[in-house]
Amino acid sequence: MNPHLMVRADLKSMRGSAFAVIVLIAIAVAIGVALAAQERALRHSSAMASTDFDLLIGAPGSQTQLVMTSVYLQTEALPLINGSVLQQLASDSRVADFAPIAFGDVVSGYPVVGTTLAFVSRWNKIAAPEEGRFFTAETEAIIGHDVNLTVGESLSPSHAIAGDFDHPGQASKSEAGHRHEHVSLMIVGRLPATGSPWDRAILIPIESVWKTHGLGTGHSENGRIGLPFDANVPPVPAIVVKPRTVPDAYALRGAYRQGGTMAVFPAEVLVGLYRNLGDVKDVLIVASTLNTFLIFGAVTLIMLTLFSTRRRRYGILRALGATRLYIVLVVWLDALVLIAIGCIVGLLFGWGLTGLVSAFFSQQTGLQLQQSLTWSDISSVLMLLVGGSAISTLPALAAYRIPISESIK
Amino acid sequence: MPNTTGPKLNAAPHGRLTNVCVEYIHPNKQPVRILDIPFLEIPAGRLLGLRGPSGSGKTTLLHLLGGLARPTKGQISWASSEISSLNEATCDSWRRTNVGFIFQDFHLIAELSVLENIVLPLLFTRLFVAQEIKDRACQLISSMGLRNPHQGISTLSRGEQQRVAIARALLHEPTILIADEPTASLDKESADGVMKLLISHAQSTGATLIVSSHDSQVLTYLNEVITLHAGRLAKGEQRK
Ligand SMILES: Nc1ncnc2c1ncn2[C@@H]1O[C@H](COP(=O)(O)OP(=O)(O)O)[C@@H](O)[C@H]1O
Ligand SMILES: [Mg+2]
Repeated sequence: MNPHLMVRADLKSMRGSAFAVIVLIAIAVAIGVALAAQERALRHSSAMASTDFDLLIGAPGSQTQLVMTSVYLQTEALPLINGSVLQQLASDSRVADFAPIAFGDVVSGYPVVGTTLAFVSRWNKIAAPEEGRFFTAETEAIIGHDVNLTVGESLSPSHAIAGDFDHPGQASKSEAGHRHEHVSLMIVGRLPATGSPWDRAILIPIESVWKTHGLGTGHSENGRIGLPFDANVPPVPAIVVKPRTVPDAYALRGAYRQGGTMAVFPAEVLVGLYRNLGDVKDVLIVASTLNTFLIFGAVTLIMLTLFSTRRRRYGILRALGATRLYIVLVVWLDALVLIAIGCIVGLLFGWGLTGLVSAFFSQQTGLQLQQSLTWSDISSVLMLLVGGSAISTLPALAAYRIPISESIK
Repeated sequence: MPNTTGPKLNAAPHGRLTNVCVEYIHPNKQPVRILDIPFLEIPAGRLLGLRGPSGSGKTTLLHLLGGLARPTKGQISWASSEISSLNEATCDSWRRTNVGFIFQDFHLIAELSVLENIVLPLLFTRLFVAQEIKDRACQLISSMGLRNPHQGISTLSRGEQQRVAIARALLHEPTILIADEPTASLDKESADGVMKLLISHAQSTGATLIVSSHDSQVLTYLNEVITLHAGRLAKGEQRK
C-alpha cells in the first residue's frame, strides 16, 4: 500500500487548519523549550562563573554582597579588611595561593579591578594572554576578553558612583567629573574569554589602586608589584584564596570567620541562594510540567477536532475499497507531518527565543549563558509526536462504527 | 459453504437477493422499512436498469448489491459469495476486486489529478502502479474524451468529473458494475454518451451492469428495467 497520494491530498485539503495547528504546536513547544533551557543555562553558567573562587575573605557583612561583588562584579562599596590579613595568609601553610581584589573605579562603564598576577592568570591556568602580555608594572592594565578597548590604548580610571556600570562600553555622564586625572594606565594585553562577568573587567595591579587612592603601594621599594607585600600593607575589600586541600578549605573558613573577617565558599552561597529561590523553582517546575501536559492536551484536542471533521473522507476511502490499515496509516502520517513540522518550527523558535533572552541577560550581567538542548527536550517532543499522531487516528477508527453507506451520504 | 470471497471472478456472476429488508429506527422508536425485497435474481452479464422516484430506495438497494451496506435481514449473494454475511475486511476485499461502483456524487478526491484519482484504489494494496496500468488508465481517460490526465479534478465540469468516476470504476475491470444515477447531473447529450460508455464496457468485458435512474428515458438502452416504489418492486417484477 502506498499512502503518499492521499497524504499529499489531505495536507492540501487541510492547509488552512494545518497552518493554524502548526503555529499552535510551534508556539507551545517553543515556550516549553525556552523555559527549560533558560533555567538550565542560568544554573550552569552561574556555577561556572564561581570557578577559581574557592574561598572568599572579606570584612564582616553580607555574604551575598561579597560574592556578588567579587564573582559577578555587581560592585557595591564593600567594607575593607585590614592589610595584615594578607600577611597572615602569606605564611599560612594551608593556602596554596591567594590574591587581593579591589574595586571602585570605572573606565567607559567597565569595572576596574585591582589584583595580582596570580588571579589574573587564574592561578596560572592562563599561560599567556590572548593578545599582548600580562601587566608587569603599576602603570599597566590587561583587559577582559569582551572589553571594547584596544591593546596599546591609555586610560584614566574614574571613581565610580552608582549607575556607572549600567552600560558597559559607554562612559556615564559622571565619569569625566570623577576622573583620577593624574593616573594614566597603558593596556598591554587582552585575556581569553572565561564566560563570566570578569570578561568585561579591566584588570590592573592592586598597587595601582592603592596608589590612586593615596594609600601607598604596599611595598617599600618603589615600582614593585605582586607578592610579597610589606608589613604595612593597605586594606582591601576582598581576598580570593586557593586552599591546598578540601580540609584546608574548611579549616581556613573556620579560621577567618572571626577576628574582624568573614570567610565564605561562593559556591555554597550560590547554592544557598538557589535554595532561597527554591519556592520559585518549584513553581517553575510545576508550571513547566503543566505546560507539557497542556501542550499535549491542546495538540491532541486540536488533532482530534481536525480529524473528526473528516469522517466523510474516511467513508469515501472505504467505499473505494481502502483497507482499515491504509486509512489509519494515511491519517497517522497526516498527523505526524503536521506535528513534526510544528515541533521543528517550535524547537528552532524556542532555541532562538532562548538565545535572545540569553543575549539580553548577558548584556545585562556579563554572564555568558551556555545554551544547550538536552535529551529531555527531545524526548518530550518525541512523546508529543508519537502520542499526538497516534491519538489522531482515533476519529478514523471511530468512523468504522458507522456503515460506509451512511458516512458517504 | 458459500462464504468465501475466492479469487477474482473471471466471469460475470449472477446475483440473488432473498427476503431482504432494510429498516431504520425512526426518532419515534418505530422501525421504518425503507426496502423490502422478497426475491430478486440478476442473471450473469445482464444489463439491468433500476427505475423509481427519488426516495424509493434505489441507492439503498445498490449499496446492498455493491457490499457497501448490510441488510437488516435477508441474504445477498453474488455467485457463490454470500456478501451479506462476510466480515468487514473480507467484504472490503471482495468489493475491491469484483465491484466497480459509480457514486451519484462521484466521490472524487478534489486535490488529486484525473490520473491520480483513477489509480488511487490500486494503491490501497500496492506500493506502485505499473507503467502498463498507467498507460491503460490514460487510454481509458482519452477514450472518454478527457484530454489531460494531469488536470486537477476541481477544474473539470460535472460531466467530465462523472467520466473520471466511471474510468476509476472500470480500471480494475470489475465483473459487477454499478452506477447510481450516473446521468442525473448531465445534459441529454452527455447522458447518452455516459450510458453508451457503460454499456459498451460491460458488453466488452462481459460484466453485469446495474444502472439506477429516476428518468426512464436513459434506461431504454438497457435490456431489462425493474421499478422500485417506496422500497418495493413493482408488481410482476419479483423475478424467479
Ligand atoms: N439513515 C437513514 N435513516 C432514515 N431514513 C433513511 C436513511 N437513509 C435513507 N433513508 C430513507 O430511505 C429512503 C430511500 O433512500 P434512497 O435509497 O437514498 O432513495 P433513492 O436513491 O431512490 O432516492 C428515503 O426515504 C430516505 O429518506
Ligand atoms: Mg439515490
